Amino acid sequence: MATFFLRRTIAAVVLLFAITALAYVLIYTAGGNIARNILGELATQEQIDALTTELGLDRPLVVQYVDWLRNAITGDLGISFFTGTPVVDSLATRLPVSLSLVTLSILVSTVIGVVLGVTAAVQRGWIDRGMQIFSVIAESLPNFFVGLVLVSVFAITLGLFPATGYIPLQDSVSGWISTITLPVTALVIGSIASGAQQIRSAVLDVLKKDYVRTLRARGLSEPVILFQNVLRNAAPPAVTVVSLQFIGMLSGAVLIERVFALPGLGSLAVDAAIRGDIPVIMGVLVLTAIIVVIVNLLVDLAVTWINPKARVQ
Amino acid sequence: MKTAAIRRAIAAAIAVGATTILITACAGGANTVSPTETNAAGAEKLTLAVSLDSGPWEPALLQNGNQAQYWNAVYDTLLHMEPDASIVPGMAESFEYNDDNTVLTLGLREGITFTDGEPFNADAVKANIENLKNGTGQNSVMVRSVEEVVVVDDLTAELHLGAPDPALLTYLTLAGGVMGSPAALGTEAITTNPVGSGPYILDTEASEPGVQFDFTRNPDYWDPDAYPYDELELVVLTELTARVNALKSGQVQGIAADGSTVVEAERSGLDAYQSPLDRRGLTIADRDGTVVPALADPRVRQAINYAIDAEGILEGIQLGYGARSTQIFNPSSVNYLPELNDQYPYDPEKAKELLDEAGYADGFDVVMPENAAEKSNPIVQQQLGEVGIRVTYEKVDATNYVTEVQSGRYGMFWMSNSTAEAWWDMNKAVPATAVWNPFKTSTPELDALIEEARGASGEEYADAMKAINEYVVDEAWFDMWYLADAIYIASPDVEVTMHPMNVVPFIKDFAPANG
Repeated sequence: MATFFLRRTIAAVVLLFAITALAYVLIYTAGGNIARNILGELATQEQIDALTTELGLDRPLVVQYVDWLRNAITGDLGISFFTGTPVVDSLATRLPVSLSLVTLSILVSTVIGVVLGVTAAVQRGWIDRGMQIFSVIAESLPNFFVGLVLVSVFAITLGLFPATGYIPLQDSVSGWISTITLPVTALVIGSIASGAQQIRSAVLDVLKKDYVRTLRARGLSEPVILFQNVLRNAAPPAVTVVSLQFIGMLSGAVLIERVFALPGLGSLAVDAAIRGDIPVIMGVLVLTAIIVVIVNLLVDLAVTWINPKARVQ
Repeated sequence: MKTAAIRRAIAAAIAVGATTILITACAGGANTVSPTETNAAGAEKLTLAVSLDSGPWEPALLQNGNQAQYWNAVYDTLLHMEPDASIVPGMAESFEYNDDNTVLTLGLREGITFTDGEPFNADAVKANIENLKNGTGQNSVMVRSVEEVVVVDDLTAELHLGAPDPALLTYLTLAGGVMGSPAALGTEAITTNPVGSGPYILDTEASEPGVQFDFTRNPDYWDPDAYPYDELELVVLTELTARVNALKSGQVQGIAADGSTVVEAERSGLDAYQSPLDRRGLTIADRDGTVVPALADPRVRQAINYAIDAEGILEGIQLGYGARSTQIFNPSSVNYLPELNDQYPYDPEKAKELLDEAGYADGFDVVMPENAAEKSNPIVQQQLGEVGIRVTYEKVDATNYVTEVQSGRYGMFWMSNSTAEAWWDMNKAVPATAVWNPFKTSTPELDALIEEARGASGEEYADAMKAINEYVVDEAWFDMWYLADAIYIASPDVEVTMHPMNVVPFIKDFAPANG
């Protein structure tokens, strides 16, 4: 287990290097005259040149990257070109928003998805057909559209929830629930549908296995077979789906954060990308990459724990 | 089996229903602390959405436009501007030029102190103007003409100019006239914590940078009546949809918007305010024919003006939110001439005749940069094509558009520029040194008019500026289509006055509707 963990950690570090280097090259080549963006349309060439030098943007790409990397390793992600605030501070205030949005969404979508998927697989009949129809409809609705409909109905017409904004959990629990409910609902509808479908087919696959028939022949009750055998065997593909959904939701959260004006990483990333705020873009990228790597690692550990065969592989 | 399944389904439905009611109940409780309630209670608090995050609070780095509302709250300016663009005293009680407009004498208001206790005096004016001029901020250009600030006495400062700058008084009502505490200028602390003498003080404890900024009234402000609200909150909402939703649901009382939202907003009982601000159209920059020889002939440039249906674009793309204008100036400017707007009606036949006279009966080719965000591109291509001018678009990265079009690679290009004071607008686009004159074109006649305007004042200045306006319209230096409206939407409990030169109203332009 220790070797497995070590191997995955080394792979993760290499991956982080590769991602940051690639991102630096992409931002650099995508261009955009950053000094011009900061100084505005009336700046003279001398002013632009002076600011470019001040920001260190006139140095070769490799020098800029190595310099950034050296600071990043010590935890210094630089200062935003546009607001002058340290990137680490911005990330620290925005990470909890995105994490609470995505974590709550994944919890909700997993619980509801598993219940729906297992029920559909076990019960079949009209429940199964109903679930299939729901899935097709829910999956075809873009989450920002769902978000806009939710705001229009529950925030503007009924006034039950605030239309925009975020109240941190530590400030007010009820406030947090009120600000996070609509975004979470918008974000989970599609993933409940796809999760339920995946879990349904995983459970159906296992139910068809010979050993299930044997267990039934031995007279075990249906709940025992379902909870002790079927679900455990259907779990690994389901866990993988959940991890993919988590990562998918991180990107889905970008749009949802815009619609609901949640001050999360997604909004920060979009604003920084539009303006060419390189330190902020790189900060968000590193943090997101680390989150994805950790989630994948946790999923691998979970799968190994559930299914001993995976350890050998 | 079937009955059991149905029973379970009903149980599940009840569980889901109960959860929803529970969550809704919690949410309902939370809503009592939302800003809606506070606002409904009266006029003590004003909550506005701002489309951009605040930049640094260092006075040398402040910006006009959307971000002006941030610094309006905490900083005061030497002069103030009225809704009709007239300039009135601010921190300076009096302002007067000498005979040749090269020395501006400011008589300063007595008794103003900054929030750190520093006094406002002539030394503070000198420190602020030097700080702005020597800084790397966008608006250092506003005090570029000031060569020296002379401290005459404690409450009198003289701004000595290298050459007359008719726009200076306007600049002193904007970011160019902001006064920060001389003890704080250039320090690290002022980047995140402003030290001014404005109507409000930033509550750094309650504010969250990038999300929302809370302000309380500055008890020492010299003109409290101009600011009826005791508290101010500015919420950063970059997305238009989020701003509209926040306004409709009562979370904020005012937002910057665009034409696409006006009808819906008015249907929801909100008030829309409009004022013409951004000039849109083509800059026919290559007037010497460097990259497109045909453009050297004024008849060709006039033909372009006749060939494009500007009113059609105003109605079709701008949804009518604006006014037809062939000029690069603001309607509040001393040199704005309404009669010039009739000079180039949509007349493709006339365009063809002019091209024929100029020797381009078979037309010519021109490469234009394509700004993906601009919807008029295909119309321009088609309508110019109909008179024989073959446009090829080259894709340009939107964030790089300004750099590309100012590079001198394109003979003509689409652009939207804000308009303000006459000299300021002229100086941006007309002289050979102007950033919006990428081919540095000039004529002796025009240079003479600019010199005449620079040294003049009053009627003489207005006449010289009018002559410049007429010259560039006659010679078709541009193909201006219209002045697009700045659009601001507010809740009915707020009365808003549009700023004549800024995309959003200043904080002083808001008042309770009943008072």
